[in-house]
Amino acid sequence: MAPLLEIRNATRHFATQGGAPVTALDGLSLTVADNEFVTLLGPSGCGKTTLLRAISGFEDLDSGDILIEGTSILDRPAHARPVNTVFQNYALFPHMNVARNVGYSLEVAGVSGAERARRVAEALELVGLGGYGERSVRQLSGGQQQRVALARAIVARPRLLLLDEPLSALDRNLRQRMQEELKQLQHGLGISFVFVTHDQEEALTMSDRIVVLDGGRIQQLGPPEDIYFRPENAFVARFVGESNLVTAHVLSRSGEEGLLEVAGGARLVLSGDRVVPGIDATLLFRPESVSVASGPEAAASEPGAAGLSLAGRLTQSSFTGSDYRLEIDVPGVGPLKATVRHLAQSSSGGLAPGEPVALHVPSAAIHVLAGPPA
Amino acid sequence: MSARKPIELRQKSVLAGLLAAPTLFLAVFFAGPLGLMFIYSWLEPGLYGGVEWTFYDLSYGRIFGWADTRYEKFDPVYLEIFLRSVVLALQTSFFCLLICYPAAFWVSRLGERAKSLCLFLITLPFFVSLVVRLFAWVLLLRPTGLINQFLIGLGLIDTPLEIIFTETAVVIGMVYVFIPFMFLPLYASVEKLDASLIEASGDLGATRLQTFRKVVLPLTLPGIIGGSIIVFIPSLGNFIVPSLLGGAKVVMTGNLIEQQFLSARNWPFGAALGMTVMASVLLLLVVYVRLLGRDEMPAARIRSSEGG
Repeated sequence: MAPLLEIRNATRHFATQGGAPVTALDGLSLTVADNEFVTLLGPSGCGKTTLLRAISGFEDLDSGDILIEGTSILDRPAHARPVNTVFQNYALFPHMNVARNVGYSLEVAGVSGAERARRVAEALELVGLGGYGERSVRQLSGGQQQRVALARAIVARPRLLLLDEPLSALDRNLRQRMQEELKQLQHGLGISFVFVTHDQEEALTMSDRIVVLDGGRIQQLGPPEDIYFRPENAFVARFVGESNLVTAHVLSRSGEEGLLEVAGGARLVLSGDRVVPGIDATLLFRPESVSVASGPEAAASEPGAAGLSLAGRLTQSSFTGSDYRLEIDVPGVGPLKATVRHLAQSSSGGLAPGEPVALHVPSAAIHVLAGPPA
Repeated sequence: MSARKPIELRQKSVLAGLLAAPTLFLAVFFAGPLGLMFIYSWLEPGLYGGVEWTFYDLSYGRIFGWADTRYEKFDPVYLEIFLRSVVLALQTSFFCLLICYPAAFWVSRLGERAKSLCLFLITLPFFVSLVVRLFAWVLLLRPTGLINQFLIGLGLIDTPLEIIFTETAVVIGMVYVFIPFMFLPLYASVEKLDASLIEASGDLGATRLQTFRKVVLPLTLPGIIGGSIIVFIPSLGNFIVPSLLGGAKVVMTGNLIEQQFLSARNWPFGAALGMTVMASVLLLLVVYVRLLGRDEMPAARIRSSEGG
């Protein structure tokens, strides 16, 4: 059976005032299955909004095709495509009350009054706005407007719902609550969501699969855990979560394991296909995988432990509430970030910038990237 | 009390200062003459111009049905002229709207610089005297004028079209004169229209026609009504266009009023005609405000019910 949504080789260039055209989509291919939550994640200008607008019918492709259940929809105008969109600014009709906004797609499709009222009430109930039908949309808060936009987009039960950064205008607490609600709603309705965001935390929280985009191309496609722990390249590693990237030279390889040396002389043993003798490998580890020990006694930490051990000097330390975020300068390697729960108390009473510290990253927390650090 | 609110006091005095000059000006030069005209319209016309200071309601009677039996029998000619003026003013508003509405959409989609240029071009006619511009229309419309010569040259017609000195010429002239008045309020409401609402409507399955009927038209209605009123009111009282392009054949209320003041020297009757036009325009405005107010009603009702 054909997938719900299939994008084949989508390419789109935009002419700019300066002359050189900008590539928004560069031969991008993607499929979305039934009942799937797919997030398009990337910085602004990465092509995610262009792709969404091409699916909804507001943007042409230079080449490529977009198919829904095996049928191309490129020739169909926006109103004839079986998708609905939740717009970034909600785009609620200001001259209609909540119920008429929500029932708009039914109204233009000629659904009778009683049936329409029933389905509108149902959709409002689903988004937690039961009884708000008679309100004017201008009286609603941002979060309520967001819910009306959502109800309006799902009332006709499209197979595919497109969401264009719908949570970006909400404050942090409301955004987190809406993330959970959206995820539940998507599961409950059995509608596939294609969600656009530049917020990596949002993408990791909600998605079944994440598509990381940059320069109109897919940088990586996979479940959130893969994106976070096993990024394909330096762009993904830097864009999703905080990361430390360290270049290491592969000295030798025996069987599954290779011996690597990082700048400054520290050595470690890692396994994997990407450890090839003679070339440089880029190692990624997250700040939270770094353990930090302080004091002069720690400077000569035992080199035998599996993983990467480094010595450096603390340059900055800040308290974020749940954690301490440290920045440590390691000679030859550069500044590294570490997030620790508790600062190991040294005899002098605490860690101060300038003190020598020892870092350790276990082998299991080190991921080898495909390419060099960009 | 006010001494403890120096900021509020200062704001109020600044406001009063700003309003003083226009208030004074309008009181002396607008309300004064208007009041005078209102009084004149109820006075008896003097035999050789001027007024007799006695109450006299027959100027209005001459318009509405109880003429001064010493001089004439009632003739509804003034009502007919008034109704014809209303029809011509409505036609003018309609054609202005027909021309300006698509143009406003077109301009609103241009880049910033092209937009300002277009808005400048729209106001450009104001830089040239109205009389000069209307005489240009005489040259265009007369039997030996450019338009007729062009059509004859093409072989489309044998004899020149009778355009000048007809109601058609008057409407053409008034549409030409009042297009900027229609365009600007219309443009303001079209410009405000959020393009994402049109996309949202299409996304929700509405055809272009449905989107126009259900989203574009209701949201630009204030501009349509506003522009129409701003064109309708001066068209109704206009006398320059009909006297230049309508000749002696097309008399509008404006010409009638002008004649009463300048030729017939019957100031009370001229004033009564003027008051009638003003009253009907005011009535129209009241209806308009009521119509607009009705839209806001549901929201206001909810607010008050929440408050209580």
